[in-house]
Amino acid sequence: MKRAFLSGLSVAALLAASAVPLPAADLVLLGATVHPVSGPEIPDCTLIVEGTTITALGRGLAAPPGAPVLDVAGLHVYPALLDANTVLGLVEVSSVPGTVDISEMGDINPNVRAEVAINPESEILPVTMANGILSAMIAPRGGTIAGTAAVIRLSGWTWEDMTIASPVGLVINWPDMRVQRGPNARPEEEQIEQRDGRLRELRAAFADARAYVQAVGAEGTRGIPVHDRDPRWEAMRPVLDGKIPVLVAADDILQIRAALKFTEEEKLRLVLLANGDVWRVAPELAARHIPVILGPTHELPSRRWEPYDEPFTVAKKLHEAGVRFCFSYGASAFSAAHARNLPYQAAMAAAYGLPKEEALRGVTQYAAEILGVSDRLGTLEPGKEATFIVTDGDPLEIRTQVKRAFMAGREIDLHTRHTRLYEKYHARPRPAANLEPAAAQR
Amino acid sequence: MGLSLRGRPSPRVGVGVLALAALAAVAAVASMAVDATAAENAWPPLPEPAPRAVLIRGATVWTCSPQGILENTDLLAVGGKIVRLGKNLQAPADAVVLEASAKHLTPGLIDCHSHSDIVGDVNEFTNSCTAEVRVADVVNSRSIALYRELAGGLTCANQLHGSANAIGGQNAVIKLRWGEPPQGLLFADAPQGIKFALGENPKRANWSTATDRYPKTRMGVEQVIRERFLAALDYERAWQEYEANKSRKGVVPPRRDLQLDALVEILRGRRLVHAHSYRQDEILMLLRLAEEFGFRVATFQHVLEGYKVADELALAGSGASSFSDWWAYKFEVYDAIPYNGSLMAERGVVVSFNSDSSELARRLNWEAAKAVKYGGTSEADALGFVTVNPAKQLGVDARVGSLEVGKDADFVLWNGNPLSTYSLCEQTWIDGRRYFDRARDLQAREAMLQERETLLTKAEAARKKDEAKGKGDWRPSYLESQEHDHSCAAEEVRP
Repeated sequence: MKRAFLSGLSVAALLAASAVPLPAADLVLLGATVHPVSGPEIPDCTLIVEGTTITALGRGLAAPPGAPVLDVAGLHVYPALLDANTVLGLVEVSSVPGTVDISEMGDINPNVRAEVAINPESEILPVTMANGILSAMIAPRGGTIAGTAAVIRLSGWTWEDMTIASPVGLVINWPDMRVQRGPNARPEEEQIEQRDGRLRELRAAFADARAYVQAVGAEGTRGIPVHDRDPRWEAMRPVLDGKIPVLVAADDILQIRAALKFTEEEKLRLVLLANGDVWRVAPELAARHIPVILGPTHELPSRRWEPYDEPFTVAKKLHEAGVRFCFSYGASAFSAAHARNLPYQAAMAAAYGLPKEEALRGVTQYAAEILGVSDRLGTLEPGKEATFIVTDGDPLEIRTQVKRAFMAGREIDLHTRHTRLYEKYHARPRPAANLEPAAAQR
Repeated sequence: MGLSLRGRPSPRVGVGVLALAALAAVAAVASMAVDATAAENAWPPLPEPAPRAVLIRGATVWTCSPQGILENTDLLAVGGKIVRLGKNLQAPADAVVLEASAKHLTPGLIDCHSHSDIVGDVNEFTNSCTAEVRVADVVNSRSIALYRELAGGLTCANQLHGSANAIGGQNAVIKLRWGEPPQGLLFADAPQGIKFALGENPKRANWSTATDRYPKTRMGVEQVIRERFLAALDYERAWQEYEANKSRKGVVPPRRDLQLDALVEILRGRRLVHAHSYRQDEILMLLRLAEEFGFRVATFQHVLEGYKVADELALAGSGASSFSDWWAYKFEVYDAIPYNGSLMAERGVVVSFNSDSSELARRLNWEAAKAVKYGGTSEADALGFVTVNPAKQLGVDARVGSLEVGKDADFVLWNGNPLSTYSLCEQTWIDGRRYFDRARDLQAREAMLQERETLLTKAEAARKKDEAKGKGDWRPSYLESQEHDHSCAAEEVRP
């Protein structure tokens, strides 16, 4: 529809032969304070959208004649927020297995792709968008090598329509390195054997994939026969080529250290999906330019003796050490329905010492950069996708309302299952003043 | 075994609960710093002795009373009670004085649904009715959650039995007096209560293994509760007949039944029912059953479809203690909406927001902010969702929940508006004693971390020495302990 409108404008401009052609526009936002995130806020800003893209923004820009104008004076415009690790779209009701598609059977599943299981009609998606989160990285969760993650927009007709980039990384759940002791623990040897078995399997998967690529590449030369195709090792090609990173989930110091060593030996690009202990290796992460997608800030310290605010200060410590980071709401089945609270994970880090503007970047710009989609998302600049939200204040404050949302130039309906039920029951007729309680059952 | 066979229910101990309580008490005493040096070095820090008086000067005071929010106001507490609230108050000679301009002062936050401070499992899973078991016997005063929750401004919590049974166990309302033994945590004057549970959990809808326990449907849940109350009435009548005839020769007393004792207390209004519930059908069912048996359900817990039957709840005078915005983790919460609290409050229900989580319990002020965001509840009323309203629901509002003269000096000092996500809790006071002080925590943690580093260095050196000699079993486990959290909402993943 927008395209048709745009073509109409262009034709009209051509017909008016004597007129100087003005830039076309499909939407002009007037009067808001725009927060580009990549630079300082711009009060009383004009923001011009053509098609799916921001073409200009600044103070005192002339609106192209004929373009639809939205007066948003007094409000604020921010880039839409991005949840950098979630299972949104892959789960509806986490306790009902028929609605959960996050963990495949088996330990080595590099060929599993998250995006093909998105339910575009999930009621959770509009609920998440209504609080300003319009895109996300969705990741499979099961086994040791879980599959590949994708960056998606949360609205679209089909999963293809919704997929922005795929694959963006191969998810590895690093085996638990700890050996539990105590009266209820399994025998130590058994625990160690299980752990080491998983580690051997992980290493073997990479060795097999490399051997497979070599074998397939050598087909036909010197009489080398055609190799059977294996979708698992095919799926690992972009990882081995360094085109996409491994996304290693590891919270505990032993896991993180092991993952750092492994990826160095295997010469893999690493992005950590981490929390907990990750700040303990901050200098190494900074030196090796390894980014971190943080899990929820709203976590308990993992050990009794740790300071109560330990999880609240992880982002601050990474920031101070020069480690690239962004926030996520975490990829558990339970958390998907609550991903709308992503901005408050960042806010908690800000309350405990992370600069506010860094907290905001952690759910916009930095997320887009780490996920490799910063050419279109994460900041408001000419040439970037027109994906932004209009609010009455700071989106990291709970009391702030998201008034409107735009995805690639298209306005998103912010009505949700929740607003529909609210409106329905808000309008429920009140009882007569003299109503008696209903008759007892018997 | 210490059981009195006569008379009305009185404090009692069975062997099992005695053992558990004793264990908890021993653990707590062992953890308490006895001498001053140990107290100074304790981690997390133990509270200093209570001053005789404390004066907070110039704060923005959220009274959570009809007085509303008072700017630039002083609060004076003496002997653990609030004695004055006003401008330019004089400090008694021995008072601790806190300059609090630019700071906000609120009542201590109250969590109407917690399992943070219970020893061991929170469910007696075996029967559909376990009204005889008591959380008060297994209060865990060593739970690190106490300190972490104090650091989020929490001062009082309703420790509830789990939601596995239609009629669960008896609750314990506690104050978070970190460092005290279990008995010292109990809120002495709080009315006794009990947990009920409706819906998927008591019918074991989400158990991973097959179960043949009755009930298996919401229909059966109603009948379990009805049958037990009928039994309680029969039991009460037997005692009444005995009391009337006991002077006669040959009349023997009925057998004491601890489970039915608790149910009789409910029927006679001496025990508050806190009913885990989600869907409107089950909420209405219990409302009608309670009407029939002549008692009031004190609170519906979670009550995520309460907004659908808000008028019925208001008419019955039942409170609603809800999650601010949890939903979709089970089918029975697929219609849960974040407007629930505001919608019920608009129709006259006393509403609180609870945590059911040792993590969430550290930021109930943020949960309150969600009532402002969704449904437009005023900021003052929203803070009431985590202060005065839960106090009313637990029957302790004469003592706590608001900052008013005569009430307990339970309050929190924040560095900004408590509903802002950028604010944090600086100090938490209970009964006029400072149980959490961020400045003191930051100092103490430095000392703790340094000491820890020293010890680890020594241990590492010793390990290397022993290993060089080819002996020793050095497997440091200092990074291995994990804290556990319990939530009714997560019970579907339990076996």
